[in-house]
Amino acid sequence: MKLRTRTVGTVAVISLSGELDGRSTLDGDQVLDLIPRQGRALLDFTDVSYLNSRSLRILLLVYRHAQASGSQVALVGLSERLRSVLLAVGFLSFFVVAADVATGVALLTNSPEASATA
Amino acid sequence: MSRPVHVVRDRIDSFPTDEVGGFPVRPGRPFPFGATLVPGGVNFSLFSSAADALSLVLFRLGEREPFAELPFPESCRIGGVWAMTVFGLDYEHVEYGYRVQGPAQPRIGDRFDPSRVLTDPHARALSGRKVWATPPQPDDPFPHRARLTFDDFDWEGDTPVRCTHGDLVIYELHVRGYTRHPASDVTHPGTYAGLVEKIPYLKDLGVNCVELMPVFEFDEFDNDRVNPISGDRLMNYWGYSTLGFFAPKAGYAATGRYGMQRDEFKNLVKELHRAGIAVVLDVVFNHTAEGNENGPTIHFRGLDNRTYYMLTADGQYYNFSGTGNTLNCNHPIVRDYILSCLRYWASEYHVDGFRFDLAAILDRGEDGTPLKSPPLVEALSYDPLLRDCILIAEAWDAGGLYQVGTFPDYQRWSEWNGRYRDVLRRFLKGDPGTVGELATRQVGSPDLYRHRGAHASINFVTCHDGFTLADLVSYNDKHNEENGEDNRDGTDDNSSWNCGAEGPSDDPQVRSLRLRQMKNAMALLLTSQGIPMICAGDEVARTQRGNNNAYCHDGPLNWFDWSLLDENQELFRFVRACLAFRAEHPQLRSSEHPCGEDRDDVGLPDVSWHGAEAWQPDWSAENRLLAVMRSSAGPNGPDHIYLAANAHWEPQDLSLPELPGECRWHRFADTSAAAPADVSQPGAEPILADQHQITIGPRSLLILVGRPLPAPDPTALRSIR
Amino acid sequence: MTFTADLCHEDRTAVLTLTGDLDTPSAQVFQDQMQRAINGQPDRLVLDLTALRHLTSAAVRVLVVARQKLADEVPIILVGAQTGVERTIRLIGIDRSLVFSDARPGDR
Repeated sequence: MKLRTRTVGTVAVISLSGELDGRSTLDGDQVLDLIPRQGRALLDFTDVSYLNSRSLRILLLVYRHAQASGSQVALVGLSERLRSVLLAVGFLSFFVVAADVATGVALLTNSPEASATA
Repeated sequence: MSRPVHVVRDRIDSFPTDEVGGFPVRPGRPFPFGATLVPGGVNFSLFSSAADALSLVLFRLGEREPFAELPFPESCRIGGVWAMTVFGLDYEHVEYGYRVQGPAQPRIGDRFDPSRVLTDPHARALSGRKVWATPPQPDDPFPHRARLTFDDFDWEGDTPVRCTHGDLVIYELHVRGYTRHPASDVTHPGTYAGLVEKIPYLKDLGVNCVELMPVFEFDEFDNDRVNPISGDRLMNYWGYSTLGFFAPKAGYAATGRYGMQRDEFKNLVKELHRAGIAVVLDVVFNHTAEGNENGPTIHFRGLDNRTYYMLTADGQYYNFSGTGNTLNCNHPIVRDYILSCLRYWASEYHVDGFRFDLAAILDRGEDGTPLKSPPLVEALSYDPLLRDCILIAEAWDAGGLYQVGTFPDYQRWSEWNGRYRDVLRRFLKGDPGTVGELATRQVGSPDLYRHRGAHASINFVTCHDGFTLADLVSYNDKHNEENGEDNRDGTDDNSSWNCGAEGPSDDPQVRSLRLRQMKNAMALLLTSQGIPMICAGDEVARTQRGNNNAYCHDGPLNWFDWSLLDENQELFRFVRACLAFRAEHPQLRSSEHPCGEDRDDVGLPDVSWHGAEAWQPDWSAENRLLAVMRSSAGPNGPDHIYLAANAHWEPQDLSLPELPGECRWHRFADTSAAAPADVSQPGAEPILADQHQITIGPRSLLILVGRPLPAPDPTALRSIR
Repeated sequence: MTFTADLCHEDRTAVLTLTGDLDTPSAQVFQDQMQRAINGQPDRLVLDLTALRHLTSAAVRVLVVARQKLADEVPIILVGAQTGVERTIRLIGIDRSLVFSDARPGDR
């Protein structure tokens, strides 16, 4: 799995890529390290076609851990396939999902928590 | 938590002690049976009462040949249980099985076969049929492989539904058939995820319990026949032939191809519960997919044939199920297996109850003799984890044991009341001599369940076995030619009547009578005491073109055609109103049989019977008119219900019983009236102009409710003055 | 057209030939003739309906009672029922215990 980060405004956009089908698994530690503590991050799945069962669980753990330590996280770039898998197994509703990076950035930047810390 | 994927290694027994077959291993933990993820490895455990040696056979996903075979060392055996923890497995990509060696001196009935790889009877997931009807590999020696999957799931506080069983309305459906039709308009047709999209429909209809036809792993290719009309290969569509008792069918999951069927099924249960709908599973413990000696060896036969199957003295398979073998349910090992299976589904999947197919087999001892106190049934009845589950028996089998009313119930079990079905059908088609028994069935069959209460009776007119409701009123005879057995299969005893023409008809009178008969059936069913069960699709007149044994068709014949909802809005509306009616009148849902006395002090007995004249029922054989009045203290004051059923082809004038005090008769339903006057919304029933006389139409049902008139509005009086 | 019901016995067969409109008033005539036919204890009862235009449910009741009174082995054969008459019988549901035929048994 490859990770690339860039900053858009105050939001860290973490782009993942690779076939996370079980040959490789989402490295939760790596992702978590890139999410700013008390900050905002978008996890961009545009270049990820598939997440296996283990990766889905790691993603959820990372997401919740980040939220518990005060960060705000949203997902973008879910392919139709990925989105439909998440929906079918009941995981989709656990995440904040934005249609694209611009919307995601706006969502995180304009959220009440954001204004409180701005 | 700083490292989300950290593996805890602070147990002193989470390290290997040996090497076997190239893998680090250690003696494992016997419980739980099956394959369990443990720190650093996988614990494999299974039992055989007589195996001499056992090995774990490992495959990479989809590869025909194994990549490793690990014989269980003696140190891994306690009694007949073999348990080994294997470290370093890439468990996402592994499939496994077992090779079992029997005793050097085989006993009668042993069928050990070390040349075969067997699957794990405790497998939590199977691969091999991940996507429904994907053509199997020819001559695949090991098609149904066990897989390793995750147990964890965020239930978000979900628990089994806590409700009184008597309030249930059961809706029997087939997972694939419910949303596979193109007109179903769901994202993933024919799946658990697809069913979630129909939850709003179920809520709108008003059912609060779904009974899912078998969802334990089965092989849809388990059928050699061909449809003589179309030439298509026939399938095992219904699924009454279990392979994997602990595994939800992957082929019913949109995410089955990714191995996520467990999560998808759990999500289905969670969403159903969120909508207030309980989940009952149709379970098949009377036989397995292994069949008799000519069937495939999948697990039990090669692991412990003598234990798992009822065998004759010379080792042949008893066949009380009609399918080739009979599970030896009351053997202590099999009993534990079944009990642990049910506990697993109740706890792991939050299932609310079980319906046991051919349950009379659960009463048979190891030699087939019916037992008065079958240990399995007793154990299920007292199990603490299953305490709140509804347990439903289809209390007969294919070996001649018919136990409706006599199934050993330990005050827990309900039964599919086949007698209810039979008399209701016969009454509807106008048979003589039915009103007496109909009366008994309407009040919860006290002749059968006096000691249990009405909730022991699962009332139904149709189910997956037999005609759909639409076909019950459209066909005199079965038409199963497409099943490939020259129409010899399926029951001939349907008590159906085609209303004047066989099959589809353009005759408006025939069609109108059929619609009326369907309404009659539903109204009678939903106003009877006991727990009603509806067969999915009956509310929109689903047809199987007269096929009353459609177990083998994966196609529009069986799929719920959602365009029927538009075509048959009138019937749907009627059924929905009857369901709402039932929810409004607690006395119809009571577990106590009525006794004919004024128990609630409302001025009338709790039940009374009437004919054309009030208070004068006609029990003679040639009479086809029966009226019942139910009276009780309802949540909003006295509640009186009068239901008249006329199976005669002519109308009748009825004199109505007089209501006490300020109560007046209001008309809830009249199946001879044209819609929308055929049924009202509960609470909004129009008052009858004539409180003493009413005419009931031919082959019709009339339902009245007696309510006090609203108190006069004092402000209205003031304004008149 | 007035209703008539002619009864004759041929060997062990009773043949009732009906003509006209079988409505409620004439049902009594039908019932009486039917009773006479049954009293003769025939092996077979033939109802010739070729000239019968109309059948009410009162008349159907006579048929139903006749079916009950005759032993199961005695067939009731309806000959030449017009479409409307046959349909009425089918819609009421008693067709299953009767035999419909185009010609009288023995006619060629």
